[in-house]
Amino acid sequence: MLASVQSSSVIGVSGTAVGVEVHVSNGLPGLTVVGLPDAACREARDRVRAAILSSKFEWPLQRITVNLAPSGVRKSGAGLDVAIALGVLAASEQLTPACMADTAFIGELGLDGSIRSVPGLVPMLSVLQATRAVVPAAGLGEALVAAPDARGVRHLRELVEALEGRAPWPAPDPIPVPVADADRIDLSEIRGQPWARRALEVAAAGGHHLLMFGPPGSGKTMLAERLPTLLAPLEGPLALEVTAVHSAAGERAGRPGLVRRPPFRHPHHSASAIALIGGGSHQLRPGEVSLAHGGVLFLDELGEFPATVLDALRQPLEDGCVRISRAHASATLPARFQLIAAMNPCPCGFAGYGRCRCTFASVSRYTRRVSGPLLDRFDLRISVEPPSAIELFGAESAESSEVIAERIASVRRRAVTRGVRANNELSASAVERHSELVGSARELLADAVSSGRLSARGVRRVRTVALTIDDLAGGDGRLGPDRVAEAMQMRADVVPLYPTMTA
Amino acid sequence: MTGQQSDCRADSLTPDQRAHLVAMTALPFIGPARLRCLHERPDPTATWQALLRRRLDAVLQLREPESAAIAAAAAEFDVFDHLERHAAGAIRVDVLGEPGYPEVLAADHEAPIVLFTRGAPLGSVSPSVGIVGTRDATGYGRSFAFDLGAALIANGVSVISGLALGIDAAAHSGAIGTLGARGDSASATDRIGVGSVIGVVGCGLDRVYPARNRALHHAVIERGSLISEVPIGTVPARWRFPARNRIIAALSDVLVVVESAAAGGSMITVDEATTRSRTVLAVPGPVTSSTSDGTNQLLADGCGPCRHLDDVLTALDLSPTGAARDGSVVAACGVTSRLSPVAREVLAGLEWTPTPLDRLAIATGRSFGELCAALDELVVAGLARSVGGRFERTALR
Repeated sequence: MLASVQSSSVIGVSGTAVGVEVHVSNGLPGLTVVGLPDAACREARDRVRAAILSSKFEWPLQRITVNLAPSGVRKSGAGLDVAIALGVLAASEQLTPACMADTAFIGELGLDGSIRSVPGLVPMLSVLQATRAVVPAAGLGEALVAAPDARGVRHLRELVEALEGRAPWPAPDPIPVPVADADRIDLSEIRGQPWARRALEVAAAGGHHLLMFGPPGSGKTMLAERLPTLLAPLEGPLALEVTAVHSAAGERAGRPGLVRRPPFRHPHHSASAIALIGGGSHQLRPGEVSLAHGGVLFLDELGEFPATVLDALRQPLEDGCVRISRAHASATLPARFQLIAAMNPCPCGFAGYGRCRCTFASVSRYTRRVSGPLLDRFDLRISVEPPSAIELFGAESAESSEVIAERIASVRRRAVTRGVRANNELSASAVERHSELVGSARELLADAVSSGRLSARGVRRVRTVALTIDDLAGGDGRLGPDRVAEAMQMRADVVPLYPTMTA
Repeated sequence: MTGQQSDCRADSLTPDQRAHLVAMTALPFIGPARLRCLHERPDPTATWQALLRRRLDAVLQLREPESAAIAAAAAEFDVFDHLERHAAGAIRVDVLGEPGYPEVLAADHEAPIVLFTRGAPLGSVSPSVGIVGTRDATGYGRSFAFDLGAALIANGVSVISGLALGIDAAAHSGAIGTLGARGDSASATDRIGVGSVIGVVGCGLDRVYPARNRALHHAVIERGSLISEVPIGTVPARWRFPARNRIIAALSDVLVVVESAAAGGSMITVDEATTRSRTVLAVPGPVTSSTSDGTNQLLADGCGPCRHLDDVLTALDLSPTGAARDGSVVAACGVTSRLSPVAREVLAGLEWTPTPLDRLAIATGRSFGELCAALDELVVAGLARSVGGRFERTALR
């Protein structure tokens, strides 16, 4: 007896349609899985057998062979369990194969026959050829993004009865009403610090990478966390892409709808290169850079990250994607993120603020931790000053995220008319086309080059940032000395602030 | 006495003897005192031979290893090449008693036996003011030193300092800034003696110490004089700085201590100045500030206060200007005349310690665009510099 069931598997962030073929014939009783299954996939035979018996079906005491096609592609995870179980039932004539036609099944089986959700429903469903899909009830909300008419089921028995028409399809779980965020964060909570706020606004408007250095408690993390509140919600294909990445990483956990809020990823500095970039031996799981796709990757305590981990960031920063190659598989994961980093001026954190206990040598060593090429990727490098007592306790309230987000949205709209998502992505020639240096701006840049303050690349980047600043002011692309000077100041050098240099 | 002795000897120095005398400055363990001792011996060439054979241990109070080190260094030394390297580096070498030796120093009882000069040769320096103080100066001290240096030059008074960090650098920066603004740099040689800038350093003139003062160092060579009593190749050493201080005291008619700790190096200069009957003025500072402990103690001990330019001019027996009290000394000197109005306004709000942009924006009420453009103008003009995203005032860098 032969049965064939459609299902799907995921590598990296892209799904692969998988055909599950089950053959039951006379021979020594047992079940073998062929077609490059990984460990979780091979263990399916024990789960499937227990689930079938628990669901009051019969386990054929015959030789069962399960083939996962295409057999050259590695399959990972337990998402094929349901398809295998249905295949066994059909091949042993406990279920009519016709009722499974043109339907794909994804889900992991528990020993009691219950159906559990698996990560990656969105990418798995988006590659299916079948018109109907059955997914675990717990993942239905997530699945609806890719397959609007998917059915959710909780138990193998329930699934078989619905397929045979003996019972109605179970009603979907009520979709939880999103709870309004009572403690929504907002940029107006940052008191004082106009320069840091300004830099954050420019970073958000132009998609520029931002490095903040300052003593502990000066608000670097607080500022970075508020960056997503300035960004417009994700739209269209980007939102789907981001949702697929998060689904593949198992971060959606069945939540309904697309990822709309730009992600904010905040890995700890003990993260390994694989955790940051993505990979792993089987599934090629997306790393933090991909999870930050379309949003913000925040690296706090940049100086504490191992140098190898930081330098691995350079390629994704350049290309907007990560290519991961392993012996058995390779994957290209999207990774177009905005990098925000924060670091202290020295190991104790107070260099330049009069309380530093570090030696001269340790301060210079600390500032050298971050490699030049990586530093060069930051268009904006600012020193964050601790707010004064007056700023902290004064009644003066600052602009809210909402007001600023509106300005930023208009800058982003202008970027779209130039053919990019943000000014950051403009090529050098496009920047020249859309901006013009007027007044003494040209001399200002020439001075900076001849005195060694700016490299040729630095000049291009400064000009791009100046264009963003001009866009924020609603300008016409004519960059005067004030625009260029401000952009240059936002590219401060990370120099060692020695203990004696106090403010 | 010393002067007479030198005078009669100066003519008799052959080029060979002269080269050997200059070479002695480069030997280890030979400081100003031992050099003076060697200089009193009649024939430098013979003295050199005596050093080689270690016959002067008793005269120079040398211990065994020191004497051995001197002999070893002398044996390998090429005295003529040494002198030629100074000529190649445009360093003037004057020997005490020779006609070109600056008169102002020749009269001193501890005059340097050999004087090395870069830039303009020292002429008549008077009226002159030495400005000294701590390296860990506060913004108050540096700001005052800068303004005083600028105002003194503008009034035709020479400014002498040690080119160290802090007060020294600020005073010279102000002085150099004024020279530049008056466009006098080209004719530095003709004009030397009237409102000149003189830096006295404790290491060889081929070295810049501290390295942060590189630009200032070169500016002093270009527009004034840089002098030292040690030859090229001499590394800065802690013990040389007090010796350097006596030259500052000897050159100054009036010594102004801007800020100093109670036991700071400036106090050595004060002692040297007192020994030479020079007037010492101290700048009053907050009683709570440790960097003003020394100056406040000087005031308590009866030394005159230096509150503004006129206090110094009075001490120099010059007529006071009467206009120096309003704190706008620098503006009056024309350093800032070429700046834009916004830049001038920002300069007024700029401190001598690294100041965050935030604070400047609040202080001036300007937008970041205007502020940054103004700061850039100040950086290009050499009046400000950026330190890790903050700005501090400086005159030259």
